[in-house]
Amino acid sequence: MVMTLLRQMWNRRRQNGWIFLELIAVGIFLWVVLDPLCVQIANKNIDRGYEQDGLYLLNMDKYGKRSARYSREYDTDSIGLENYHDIIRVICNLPEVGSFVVNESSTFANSGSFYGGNLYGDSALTKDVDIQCYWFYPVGGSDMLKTYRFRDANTGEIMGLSPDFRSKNIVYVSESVARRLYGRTDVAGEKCWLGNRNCNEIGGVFRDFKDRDYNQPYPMMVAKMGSTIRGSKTMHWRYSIVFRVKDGVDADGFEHRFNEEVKPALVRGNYYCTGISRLGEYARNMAEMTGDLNVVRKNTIFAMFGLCCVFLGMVGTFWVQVNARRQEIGVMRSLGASKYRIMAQFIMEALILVTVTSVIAIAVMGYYVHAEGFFAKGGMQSGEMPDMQYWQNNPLPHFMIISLVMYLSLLVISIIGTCIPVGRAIRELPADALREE
Amino acid sequence: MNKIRLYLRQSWNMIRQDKLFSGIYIAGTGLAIALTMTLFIILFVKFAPVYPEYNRDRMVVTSGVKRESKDTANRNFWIYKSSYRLVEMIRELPSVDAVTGIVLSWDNLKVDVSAGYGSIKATRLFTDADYWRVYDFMFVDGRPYTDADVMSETKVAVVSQSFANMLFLTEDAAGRTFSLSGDEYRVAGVVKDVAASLSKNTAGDVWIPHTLSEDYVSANEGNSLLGNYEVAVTAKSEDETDKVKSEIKEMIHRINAQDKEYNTVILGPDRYWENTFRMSEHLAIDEGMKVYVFVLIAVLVIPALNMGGMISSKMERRRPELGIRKTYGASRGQLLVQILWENMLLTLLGGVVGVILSYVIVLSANEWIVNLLDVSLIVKQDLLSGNLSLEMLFNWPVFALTLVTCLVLNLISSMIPAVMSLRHTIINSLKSKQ
Repeated sequence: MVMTLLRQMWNRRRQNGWIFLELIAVGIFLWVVLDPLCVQIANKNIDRGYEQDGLYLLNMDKYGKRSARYSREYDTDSIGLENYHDIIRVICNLPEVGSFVVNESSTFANSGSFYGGNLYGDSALTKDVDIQCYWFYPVGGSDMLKTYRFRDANTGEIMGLSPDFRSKNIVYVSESVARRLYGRTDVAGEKCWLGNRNCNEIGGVFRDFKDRDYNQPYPMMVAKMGSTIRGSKTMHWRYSIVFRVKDGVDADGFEHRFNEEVKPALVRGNYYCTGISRLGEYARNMAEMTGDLNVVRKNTIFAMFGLCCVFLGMVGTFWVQVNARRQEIGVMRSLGASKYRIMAQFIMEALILVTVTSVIAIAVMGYYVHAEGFFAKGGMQSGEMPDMQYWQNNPLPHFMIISLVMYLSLLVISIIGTCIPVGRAIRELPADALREE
Repeated sequence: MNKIRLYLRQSWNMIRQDKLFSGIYIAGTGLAIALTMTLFIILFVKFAPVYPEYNRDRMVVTSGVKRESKDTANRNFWIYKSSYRLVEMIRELPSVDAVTGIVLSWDNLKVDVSAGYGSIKATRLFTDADYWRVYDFMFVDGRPYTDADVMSETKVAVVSQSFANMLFLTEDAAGRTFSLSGDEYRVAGVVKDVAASLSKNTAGDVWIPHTLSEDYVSANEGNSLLGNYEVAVTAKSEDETDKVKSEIKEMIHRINAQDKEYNTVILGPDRYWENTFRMSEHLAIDEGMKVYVFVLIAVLVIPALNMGGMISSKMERRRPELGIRKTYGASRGQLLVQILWENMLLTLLGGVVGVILSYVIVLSANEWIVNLLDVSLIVKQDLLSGNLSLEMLFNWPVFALTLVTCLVLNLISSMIPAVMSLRHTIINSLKSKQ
């Protein structure tokens, strides 16, 4: 049957030539736009490694020297420090707040900054790992693990700081770091070296953590800063306060109360609160500014455009062909062919058309990708060792998946585009179809 | 003229006879025109002289400053925006008409503003007095702040119409006061609203003297060219724009010759349109252009193939008719013109559908559509006045370009099938029905 169909299609090559060219063009176009789109969506769907809901960032500012509210008297490091401690106390004593963390200069999720380092295992045989560091200050009850709800890579439980965290040099590492340094994740108690200088004990291993929503998890370490917070002129951006409200707290109600009651009163010396941001909202703004959301929007629009064109092209082409072959359909129906048999023949034609054109488009893209690389860029993979558990980091599965998505999208749209005109034509009675004959 | 009317009438009758074919053809054309027009609107907002950036044709902008050590063994570098010192140095160049420095303080762009009637969140820009010369704002009340206001650090502000209406319930707000981050400001002038889709340098709700910014460092206090200022320069005329660029480069060259430790590189300076294609500080202009060209080709070629196929099938069906016309003496040229005119009606109908669809797309995605092809957004604007102005949406250049696109699409999609169909001999054409 396939050979007969191929012969028939070859005989109608002039009529099929245009849709053939269009399918190749759309196939290549779709491949180009689907590659970054699929990778962005795949990255977005990787578990963040923390619970974003309920997390807030405290926005602080400082009256500058040119402000009427500026006070030179309060602009000393010691008074600034006292005031900042007071602000931290106000936040952690709010009845709705369950936990909080004071981070070092923008080392919190979606901050837009990157604090890197190298972590070495306790053996000359292991290679060092490029890591992203989240530093925090253990002032008051500041606890990064509890606030973000990091989960233990081995047990899945929400983690908290070890009791001896303050007295020892303890760091927490992500499971990808543990695997790369030791080949396993049960490495609590092992030694590691940060920058080949400071010896640390691994306090626990947490599930891989995404700094940004559209990135892949980067090998990560969470540790306390060696010193406590210090008074300076720029404490409002040096020390970022992130807190989590207790489970069951109504977010809108809390934000309203904060803005009406807490914010106006949260002025200490030259420091003042400008509000709070949900970390989810902050993450969305970051995705907007980095262009990650734009990639999703732009490529979705273009993919839809390509598929709409194919749909219209298939409907148009098959409508014309079905009209031209009304007598043929009439004869087939008279000889006992069912509607489904005729429909299947046309669908098979569409399938052959899409398959042949997709093979050509995929071959062209394979050549291009081999020479120039993929269209999806970034994703914050570790440059030296991308995590191979994600398909988007493996060239062959990456190419195969994008090609498959492209092929299936074209196939589904083409079959729908074929069924509409063919469905209308085969509803006609054989006698009506053969009248012209 | 009568012939054209006849062709169009014939085409109209064919549209009515073959509704599905016509519907698909119009939808396909509409889709292509909608995306093309959306692209033209994006390009218009980004390139054309629109309020208040009427001087774009003679404008030069910088993307930042890079400072790198000359020691090749230990190469350190820093990339920031410019310092105000660079603005002051550019001001001295002979071909420069005006230059301004703008501080966006992107991490704290939205500020709390309050007056007797309540409080709002507004987008604040710090500028100097020359800002009002580089950009052509329309004042509905009051006047801009002066150089004397700027230098004396007077707490004055220019606000947008929407800002004045929201805060003071009137546009005649010059002389009124409001509180911004705890400080009392007097309104010096009220300007016509700016659309948020414009460049980050002009999209704002409230403008205040840059000397009130904590980022301001006077020329006496520091001599680094790295800072937090965006720099926009206008040349005396469009012809002198390239001269301004070379004068800035020469100036930097002289600075580098004197500095033994560091090299300073100005990122740019670019003409305004060049800077629009510079999608990030590190990417070359042609990287940005490639994206636009790829999109334009795709939205024209794919639908053209689509419609070409349909016209080809239609031509097959009309071969006997064309054979009869040839028998009675019609030349190939005459028949080709007839087909193109008939097709033009369908394309124009598709064009109307496309224009309507493009407005639906642009208005429903007005928050991000203008930045759709950008690699990243330096600042996400969200003004009180909205994202797009009427001037951006309804303008002759965009309509003219769309009309040209319709014509091109018509030519591409119908010319090849028509020529192929007209190559048949009369006998062949007349026999094709059998």
